Amino acid sequence: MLNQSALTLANITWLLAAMAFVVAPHVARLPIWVSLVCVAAGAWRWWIARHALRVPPWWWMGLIALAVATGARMEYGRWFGREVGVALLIIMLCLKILEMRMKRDAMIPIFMGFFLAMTNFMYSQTILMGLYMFICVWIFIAALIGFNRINTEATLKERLVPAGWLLLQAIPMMLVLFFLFPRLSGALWSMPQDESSRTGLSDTMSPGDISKLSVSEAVAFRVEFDGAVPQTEDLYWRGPVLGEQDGRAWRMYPVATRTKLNYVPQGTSIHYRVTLQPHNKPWLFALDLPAAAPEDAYFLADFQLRSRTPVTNLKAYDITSHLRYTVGAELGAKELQPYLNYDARLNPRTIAYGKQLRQDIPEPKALVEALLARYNKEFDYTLQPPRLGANPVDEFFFDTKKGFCEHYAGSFVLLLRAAGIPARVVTGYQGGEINPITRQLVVRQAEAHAWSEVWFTDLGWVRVDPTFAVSPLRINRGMSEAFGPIGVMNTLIDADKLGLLRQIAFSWDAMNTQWNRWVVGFSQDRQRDFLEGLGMRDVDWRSIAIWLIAGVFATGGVAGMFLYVRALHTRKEPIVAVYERLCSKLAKTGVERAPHEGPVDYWQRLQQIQPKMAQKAAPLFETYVALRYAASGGEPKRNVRDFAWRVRRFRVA
Amino acid sequence: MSVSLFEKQSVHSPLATVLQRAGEIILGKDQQIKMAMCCILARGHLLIEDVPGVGKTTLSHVLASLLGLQYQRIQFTSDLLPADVVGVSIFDRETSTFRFHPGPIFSQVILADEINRASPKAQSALLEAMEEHQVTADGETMKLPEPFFVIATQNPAHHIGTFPLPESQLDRFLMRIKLGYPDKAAERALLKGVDRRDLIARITTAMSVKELASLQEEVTKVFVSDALVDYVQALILHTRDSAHFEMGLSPRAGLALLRAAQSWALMSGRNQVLPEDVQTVAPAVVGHRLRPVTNGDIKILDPAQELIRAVPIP
Repeated sequence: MLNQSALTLANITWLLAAMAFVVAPHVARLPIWVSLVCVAAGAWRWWIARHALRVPPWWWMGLIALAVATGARMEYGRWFGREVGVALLIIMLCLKILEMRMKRDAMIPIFMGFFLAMTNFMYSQTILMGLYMFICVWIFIAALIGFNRINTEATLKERLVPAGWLLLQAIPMMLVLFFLFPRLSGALWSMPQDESSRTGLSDTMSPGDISKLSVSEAVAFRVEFDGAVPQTEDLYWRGPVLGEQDGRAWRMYPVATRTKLNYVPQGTSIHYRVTLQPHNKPWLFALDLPAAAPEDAYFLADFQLRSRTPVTNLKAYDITSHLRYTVGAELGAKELQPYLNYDARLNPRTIAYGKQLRQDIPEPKALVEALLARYNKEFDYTLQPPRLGANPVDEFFFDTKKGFCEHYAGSFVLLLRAAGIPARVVTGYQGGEINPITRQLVVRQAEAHAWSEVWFTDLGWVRVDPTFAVSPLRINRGMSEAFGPIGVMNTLIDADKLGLLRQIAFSWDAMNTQWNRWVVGFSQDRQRDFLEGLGMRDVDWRSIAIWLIAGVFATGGVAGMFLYVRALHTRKEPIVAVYERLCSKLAKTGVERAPHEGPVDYWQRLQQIQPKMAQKAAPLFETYVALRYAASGGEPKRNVRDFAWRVRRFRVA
Repeated sequence: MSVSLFEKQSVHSPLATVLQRAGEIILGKDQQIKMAMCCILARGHLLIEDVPGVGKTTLSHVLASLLGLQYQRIQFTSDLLPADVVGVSIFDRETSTFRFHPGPIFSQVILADEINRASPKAQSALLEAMEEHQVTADGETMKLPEPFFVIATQNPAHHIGTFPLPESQLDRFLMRIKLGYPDKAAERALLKGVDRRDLIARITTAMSVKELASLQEEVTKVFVSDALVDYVQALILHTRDSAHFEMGLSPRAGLALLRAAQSWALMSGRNQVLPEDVQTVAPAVVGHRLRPVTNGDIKILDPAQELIRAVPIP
């Protein structure tokens, strides 16, 4: 083995700790055996360091690597992709530490660790993750400092303090690079997704889907209104429209696309900006009904707003809506036919009841009102509905009479269709909570909702929300007030009488908003706006690149100036600088001066090892000793200059 | 102007004679003899510490004889009284007054043998004289002769029947040296040779008191540059900041280090002090003044070497 001195137990422990920190957020996503391999490799490496053993031979490592890579291939079924890539990177990092023989080898895991820190952002881009990765990088730098110490062991303070300083010193350069590096149109960490596993609405609805969402405190999107925020009962955020009834579930019809919706607006229009959390689905959310689609988006014939690509990154769009409108009055029987279909094999009692109802009350509007009255009288709204069997609507409508919005919307639409009135289910979000600090409306997954649209002659499509008939509070006041605490955050907020926790919760949300706007969502457009706000004209990638280079040189220059000024303050005496130059020249002969070695001792050692060189250098040493230690008269400045000149001419070769 | 540093210098001849003759009697200990002489030239008191029988007393006898100084030997024992050192006042019947009978301390060289076997009371009588160069008895202060210095010997502190000298009193010795066992050749010569006591009896003076005084005067004139003061300060500062030592070096220790280095430079034939001089005398000068921290894992065997290695020469 060559130089093993840097691979001390303390240094190895630091490296392992840093690796544990950076891998930890990945563990939940990794197959269990990968985590076990990592732990085993780390423990093995620690044991090697503890007992100064040899590292395993190369062919052994080769076999392990082959086995683990095969395992990963079998686990993920492919070589490329985010999940398998990260898993392989982690495995290779853990195996690499078993190959470390000298200081140089320790550099590779450390630099891989920096890269691995970045991969965490592919999964989460929150403030907390940012802070956590900052700490990870800090620990890695502290480990790096340990490996670069010569002879002595670095203490905790000697690692963390300089590492922290290094990080802080990097911040100006980081800001320059962040704000000026030319942006691609997507975020940096948008990788092909392996699975869509985010919470949010889906394109089907069966009983229980939305009530599952209703316990989630996750933010779905945030809205900034140009004017006043509309009443809560007007805040119907339209999502997937489900027209097809297929047994237990409601699905989307494949309907035609539109670039513009034809409707007759009534009342004023409202403008707002939506910042949508990624949900991996193509639909966007807008208030009923949006006037025009934003860029990269289009409408479906059932007024759904859709993005051309799935929303995998934070997406912001400006949009205008009219809350009062008349739409679809011109539709004929052919277009409406799909909204009368139902699966006749299931729910016979409901279908029979619907048909009967039409015979009793032929006027559609009266029929709808009668039905809503029945919902109001006999039904209860609950987040824990009883389980339903083979004919769920029958059981719900006639037996349990307890349910959530999807039960009401589903049964209501089915009844109307049985009665021969066109109707469809609309899913989306209802309401939202205003953050008093940012004046933003925050819409959470808990606000997911399902309602219905009914077509009447002359009126066209009209929104009818049977849930409103059952529990008006749900619509008027919003989810959390209608149902009390949902999730931990709300429990705390409700328990707090003084409103302090509520204030904190809102401040935290405001911080997240700024983070999303300035860090995660700092897109090409944001960058252009920002730079134009700073007074830059005609922002294109070329001018950004020029500013970037200028910024890098400027921050580097400031740092350089700082170092230069500091060096001036602690500048050595000229005679010492010249002597050190002489010593560094002589060090090339292999005889290096120890810091505590005096000139005579050094010269004598040199004479023993390199007698010729010592003879050649003897006059220089004599001059140095005379200038520095003797009571020399005359003009020392001139003597020092003369000495410097002689040292410069001195050649070791 | 340049100084030739790398050829053997002609050392002051009486000094060379002293060193050579002492070396003939105490075999294989040239470095220790030189260090003891260095201490005397720096007007410091010398403490020789080692196990019994390695020649501590012989060395002090030899040096006193060679320098032609009037000397007294005090064997310290546990029942020694201060009066045994300083002297007593005895009533004179003829004059009806008390007359002071000076003790052995009134001589140019005191050989204080096994100083740590005496009680602290007796020790302090000697040590006060060392610092003040005067003694007080019966309210009367009396000057001690010049030159005055003490060569004390002691057994290592862990030996039975010793009263270890406290730090404050150790500090009064400029140097503490250890003799150590002679090497094989020296020991053989010792075993085969003449009785050392006979040799001491035959010693003739090699240096006059006047010559000694002028050399001591020259020591103070050896040039100390600012750069060297920086180095001594760096050394002292390190002992105060370092976690390895219980207590830092005192200003008196700094002065001692500088003076001893001057003396060593003079003995090496130079009229300026180099960092090497400081490093050479440091073990003898600071060794007994530094107490390394003993708890924990850090165990310093040689605090002076540790100090020198830790401080770069500025």
